[in-house]
Amino acid sequence: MQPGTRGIDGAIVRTITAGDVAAVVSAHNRRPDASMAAIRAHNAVVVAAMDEQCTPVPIRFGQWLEDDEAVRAALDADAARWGGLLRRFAGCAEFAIRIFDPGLSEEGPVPPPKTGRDYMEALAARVSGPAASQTQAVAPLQDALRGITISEIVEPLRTAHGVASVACLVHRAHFNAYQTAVEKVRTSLPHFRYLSTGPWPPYSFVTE
Amino acid sequence: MPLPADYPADAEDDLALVELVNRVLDKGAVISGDVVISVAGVDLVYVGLRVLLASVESMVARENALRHL
Repeated sequence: MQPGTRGIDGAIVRTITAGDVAAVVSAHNRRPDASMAAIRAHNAVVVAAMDEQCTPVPIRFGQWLEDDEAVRAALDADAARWGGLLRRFAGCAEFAIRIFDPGLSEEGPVPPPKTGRDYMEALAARVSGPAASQTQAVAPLQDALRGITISEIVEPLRTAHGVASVACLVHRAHFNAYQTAVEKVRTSLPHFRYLSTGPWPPYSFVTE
Repeated sequence: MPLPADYPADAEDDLALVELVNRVLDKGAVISGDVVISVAGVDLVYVGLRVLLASVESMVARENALRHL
């Protein structure tokens, strides 16, 4: 990390070492409030600490410890976990894909049916719509990314047109292959929208 | 509720901001037990986030409508 790097509220960032691991910290006299500026600053420090060999373990926003000793104690208490995550993340970053199906109908009353059977079929289609979209949109993406991603986390996207949110852990050596694979899926399934962002620090993969 | 001045206007940028906020506030490692639950301002940030998500959904729906013209 570059000397003089600044974090939340412009505070100077420094490292505190305990054993084989180091925490990147900045000093504040109280727990920082959540604001867009603070969130951006937090992420910028994590990104600044990433290089080709080392990907830091991203820490969730808003954690505030009393002093340097408390930070060292927290590092020591979970040393094996931090070491394991650092080895797993080395050279990697996270990419995110949100998948939308513009064809999914907005929530609203089922249109007046002619018969009871029509009503039940319309209701069934509404219930199965998101699940069917998930199968059709996510499975081809996972097939295309096989051998490229180290790990994937798929979560349902509970919005009007949302299908799924996919987080992918990818090694730098495969960044181009990842982009190419996503583009290929995007082209082959134009019915769905695959909106991709990244690379991110691997926030989503610390809890695996 | 007015959005902060540094919220981007473009839907693609909105999505990046949604992903950023979700990751920084809701994911990442927890090192202290009492964590983030009490961080002030989180609710306000999430209110803004819902506006951004709505704009992304609108973009998707709009593009779909244009495709069918």
